[in-house]
Amino acid sequence: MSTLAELLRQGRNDEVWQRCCGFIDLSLDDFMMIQRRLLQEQLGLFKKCGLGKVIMRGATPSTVDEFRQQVPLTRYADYAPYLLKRRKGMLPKTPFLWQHTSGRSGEYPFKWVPLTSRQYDELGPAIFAAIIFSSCKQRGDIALKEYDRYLYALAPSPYLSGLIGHRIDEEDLVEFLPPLDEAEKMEFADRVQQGFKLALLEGMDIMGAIASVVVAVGERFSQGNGKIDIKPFLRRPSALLRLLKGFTKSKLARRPILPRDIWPLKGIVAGGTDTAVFADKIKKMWGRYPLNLYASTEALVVAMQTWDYQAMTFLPHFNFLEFIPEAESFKSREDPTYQPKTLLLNEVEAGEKYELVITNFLGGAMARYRLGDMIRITSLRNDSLNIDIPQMAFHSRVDDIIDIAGFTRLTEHVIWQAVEYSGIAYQDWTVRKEVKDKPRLHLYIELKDNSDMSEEDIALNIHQRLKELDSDYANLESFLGLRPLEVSRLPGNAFQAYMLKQQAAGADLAHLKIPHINPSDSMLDFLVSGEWKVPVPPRKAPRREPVPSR
Amino acid sequence: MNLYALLPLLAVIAYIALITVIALRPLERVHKVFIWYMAVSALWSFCSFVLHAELFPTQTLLWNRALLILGCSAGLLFYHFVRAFFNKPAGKVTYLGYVILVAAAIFVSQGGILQSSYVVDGVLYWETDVSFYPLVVFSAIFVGMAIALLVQGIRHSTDPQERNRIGYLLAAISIWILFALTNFVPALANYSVDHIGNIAFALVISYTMLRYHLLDVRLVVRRGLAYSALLIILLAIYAGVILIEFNFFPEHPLHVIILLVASVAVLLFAAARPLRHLIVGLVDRLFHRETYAYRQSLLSFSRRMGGNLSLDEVANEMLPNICKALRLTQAKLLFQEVSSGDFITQFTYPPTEEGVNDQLRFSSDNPISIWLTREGKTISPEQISRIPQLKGLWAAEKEKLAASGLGLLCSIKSRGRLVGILALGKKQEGGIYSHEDINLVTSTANQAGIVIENAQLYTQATTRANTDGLTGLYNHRHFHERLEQEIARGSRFGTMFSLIMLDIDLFKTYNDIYGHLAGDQILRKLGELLKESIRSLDMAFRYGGEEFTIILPETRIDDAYNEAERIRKRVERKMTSKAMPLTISLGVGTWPTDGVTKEDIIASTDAAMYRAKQTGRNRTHLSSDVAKPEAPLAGGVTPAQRGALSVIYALAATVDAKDHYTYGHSKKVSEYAVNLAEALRLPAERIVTLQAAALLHDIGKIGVPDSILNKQAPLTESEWAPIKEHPQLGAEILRHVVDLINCLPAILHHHEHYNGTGYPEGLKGEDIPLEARILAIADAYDAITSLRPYRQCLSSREALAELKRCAGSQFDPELVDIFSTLIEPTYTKELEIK
Repeated sequence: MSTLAELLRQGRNDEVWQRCCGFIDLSLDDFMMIQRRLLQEQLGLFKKCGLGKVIMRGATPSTVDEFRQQVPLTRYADYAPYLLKRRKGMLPKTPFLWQHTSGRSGEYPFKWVPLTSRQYDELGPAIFAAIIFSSCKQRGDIALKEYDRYLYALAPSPYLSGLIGHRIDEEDLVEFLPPLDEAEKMEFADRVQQGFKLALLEGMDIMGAIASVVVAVGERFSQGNGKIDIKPFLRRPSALLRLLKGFTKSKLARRPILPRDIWPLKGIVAGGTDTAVFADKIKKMWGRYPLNLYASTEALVVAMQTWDYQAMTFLPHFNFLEFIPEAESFKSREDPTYQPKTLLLNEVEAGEKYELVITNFLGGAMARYRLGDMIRITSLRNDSLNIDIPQMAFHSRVDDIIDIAGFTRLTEHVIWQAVEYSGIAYQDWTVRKEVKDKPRLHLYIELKDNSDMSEEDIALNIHQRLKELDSDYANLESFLGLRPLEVSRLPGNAFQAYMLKQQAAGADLAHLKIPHINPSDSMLDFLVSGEWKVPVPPRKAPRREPVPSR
Repeated sequence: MNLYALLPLLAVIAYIALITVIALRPLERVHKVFIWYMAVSALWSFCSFVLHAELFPTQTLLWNRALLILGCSAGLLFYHFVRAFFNKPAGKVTYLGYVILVAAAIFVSQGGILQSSYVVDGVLYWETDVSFYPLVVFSAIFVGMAIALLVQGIRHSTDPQERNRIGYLLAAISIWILFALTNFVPALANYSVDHIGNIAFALVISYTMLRYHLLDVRLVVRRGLAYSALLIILLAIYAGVILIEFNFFPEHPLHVIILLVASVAVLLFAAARPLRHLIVGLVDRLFHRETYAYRQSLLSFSRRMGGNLSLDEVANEMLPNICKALRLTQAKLLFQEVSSGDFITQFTYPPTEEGVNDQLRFSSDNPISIWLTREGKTISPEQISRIPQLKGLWAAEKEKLAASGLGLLCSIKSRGRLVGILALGKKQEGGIYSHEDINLVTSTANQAGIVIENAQLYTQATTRANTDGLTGLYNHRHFHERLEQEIARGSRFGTMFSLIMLDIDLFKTYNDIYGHLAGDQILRKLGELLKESIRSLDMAFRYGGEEFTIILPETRIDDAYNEAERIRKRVERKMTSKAMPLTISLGVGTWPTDGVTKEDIIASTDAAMYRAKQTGRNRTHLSSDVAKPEAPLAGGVTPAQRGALSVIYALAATVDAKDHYTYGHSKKVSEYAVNLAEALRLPAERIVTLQAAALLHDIGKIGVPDSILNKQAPLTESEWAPIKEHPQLGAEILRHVVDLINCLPAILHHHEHYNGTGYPEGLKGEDIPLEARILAIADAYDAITSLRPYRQCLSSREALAELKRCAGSQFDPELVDIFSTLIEPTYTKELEIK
């Protein structure tokens, strides 16, 4: 089989499109047929391996329905005894590589996940599909050229992003800035800096990065107003010309120089849950919207945007996709023993939110695995591009982890520690991520009766503690210039009032308290309003929470 | 206007027409570049027209300069077009070419290259200096680069349609070059002949651009050559005749000449059709060489095979011809397997010794089967790897396809249904399937669709006629046919064969207990098991009822015995139904040793099978051993019988121990039942069975609580339940004792009522096994005449009256009558004694 580079070189663009991007031409029936077939294959592998027997609790389903009825939903804890020790003998297929997750993931410093050779092979066309979509104007249009220069500002292997880099490199189609083998030896900040230095000299066609990094680099470039040491460019007329062109464009537009003046990018591929937040800013700075790719270590590529930069289209061949309706998901969070019902892609409804459940194909290890992401089905098809597959957008995380700019994942534990170490006398607190122009970590705190600390002081104090506790959080400020913490003081007795209200309503014990992480809108509305009707008895002593357990 | 101006004028008109046609459709980049090419070419032809028509005689040099530059731009423009065709950007070299061209235009406009130019009688004359040649080289370089790109494209492309399209471009540029070279032939250089090539070039490219499905370029070239040759031959003959007439017969009057010329014209017209056929055949033969005959054979496949109803013959006609016509390594035909619905390899050419695992198999839900059904096209391995609908293929399926050396799959459809798959190997020279190859394969598959469907329907009908509907094995009629054929074959070639006859042990009992539907299932299951168990050359038949036969061609008695034993053990291992072990007894005979005629061999094998049954079942006997008597045990009881009796007595003792009220009841019932059976003149074997059944008929009461059995008051509804279950429980207990299997129907049904109101199954009339009806009477009689906890005993007379009252409702009336005749003398005697 010809490589993508060979096909492009020979002008066989139709074949490149079909191989990489053809999935958007599938009908929903075709999509479901692929899902059903590959699940059957995967079930055969699960039946034969130790992990499969454990995860499927001895069940031997042979159809989709049996699988959904007999196999319970799983979380990483179910796999941890085998995957953390990297016991390859237990797996459906011998892993080709091991990868781990980025950031903190709560109870495990790293979640190790195996990657089979088939999964690795399939990654290539999927990632090139994203690159092609990011740079095309219409169906079948391939702007990608051999040896386009690709600035790849993502974490190295064994993170998934690093493996993706290697997979792209294997196709020998793009030139990495800096070359991948050199980049892997550098610190993240250095490789980004070196990449842009090379981009200034040699030009840049495509960029792959977390959206927040794309913004940060663009802002830094603009704030510097193009103050560039011109000496190295004197020996490179083409680079000098590029700079001159950029300066001329900015002067003509009577504004500071922007990255788009220097690099007329073909495409930007961005990961991270906040890509949509930064999209407009990126477009303004870089001249293109970022193409959002929804991928994760456990699921690999789940969905991606197409050239209209609207919702994302699912890929059929990496995972068997199931969707837990929002109400069911919430119910199962309240009662961990409850097995929520799931829907298939041809059963979802537009406008509804679902928790995503995946089962790896291609010999992967995960079965009915709850990714922990809530997604929203925006429509059942993309009418403008005539894509017959339901479209999705990332909505939020479902668990007690807050992801900020793809850089850090803060757990309840870490935030609690920070609040504690700050020495602030508090009654209780709750925190959630809110997004307006930027992602914010919004802490709602009820102080003790006589405290008169300002919200700004509280924020500054806890922010410092968070920086000490979480180096990735610290990087948000040092690298992206982002200070995401915002604090709102709650009126006195807010938390107790909520509890009394719940008691009065006959709520279960588990529902009396407001959760520390990701409270709902109605909960916050109640806390913030201060207009509770239930009389609150005076408190005798401040209540302290026990050490949190999950 | 003169003739030399006409050609460029025609070219201008053609270009404008083509530009209009192409511009009317949605324009992609390649179309835009082609329009650009034709616009420049139209200008070029227009300049030529102006010059040859002498429209501006004072500005000849100016127009000729334009003509020169535009003419030299053709190569560059074509290169630009080819790059666009391959979706490549114009590139630096193209832009450099345009810069050079502009520079050359400036140079020419300043008096360079073209020294003089003039037109005499419509013929253009011009002189250049040496700087003309670099311009020619410039153009030639771009033409060369364009050709190189095209050749590279055709070499790398695996898509036959794409290769065909590129073939057209190569053909077009070849025509263009051919006519462009006329500019270097002094005799033609001044006559604008090159515009013929330009028009042809534009027409060919436009055809390529405008049509998605193109005729195969090689076919077009071949036909073009053939028709050109035909035209030349006809014209040559015609001209020759006229020349001869004028040169050698000048004295002929005009009317003779006209008549002659007209006659020759008519003759040539008449000869044109057969001559065309001949020339087309010759040219095709020249191109296809040794594959010509096979291709012709395939093209007429439908005509020759239309009436054929044998799949073997269809495959034998189709596969070798395809292999030889296309020079393939292998060709396979896959048809749907009736049982699974999968498409599996049924015919292979050249034949190979491939096992089941080597066979191509596409299940009905395989994405390839679905794609072939839906699209009805051919598909290559390269396409399989990139078509998104085929993402659902399993790794194992992909590996198998890759290992099979597959080159192309083609659907064979009839009336919209996929009736077969043609799987072709790779080309022997390692080449790629051409567009013409694909057309030939598709055409053959299209023709074969209806032929194959008919043949399949016929085969299915024939198979159905020879097949037993229940078991799927061959039927009794076919058994006799095949047996006669084997005897005939053996007589002619001196070979032998063996015959196995087998019968399911105690099948009647099974049927009586579980019903005929369950019995049918057993027969079906045994049919499947036999099909799986026999060797590929052996044939299994349902002889009738629960009897089966197997013909083992060219098999000696020892091997047949081993085969029979293997089957017997397999059946014993796998045929357990409803916890009742099912076994078979087999007889083995060999032709001609155990019988020369059909009847003889059947009879001797049948006898061997019955001997196997008589000697304890679940065993194999040889025909040759039938004559030998089985050594009896002491007392004239066979070992099987002795084992059975010991079990019966032990069980009967258990029943008696359970309920002291019923002590002796079983034994008395047994005596009454045996008397009645003897009066009915039942065979001794059935009487023995009945005796055992009677002794054990209440064995199921083991599961009834004593409190119920001994209750003096009438039983409640809930207390009746365990009582009513005792026949089933009894049957359940005895089911595991192989020697007592025959007793089960009587035990299970001895509480059925003749009118269908009894239990456990509510059987009616003669649906109730005879032994059960006998037992019912015997049981009732003894119960009535015995003391029970819930009532006093009645006299024999009262008991008989009760039996008669219930005859027809509870008991078989005929049996009651016979029983009465047996009992009445007894109680008459009793009365006399009293």
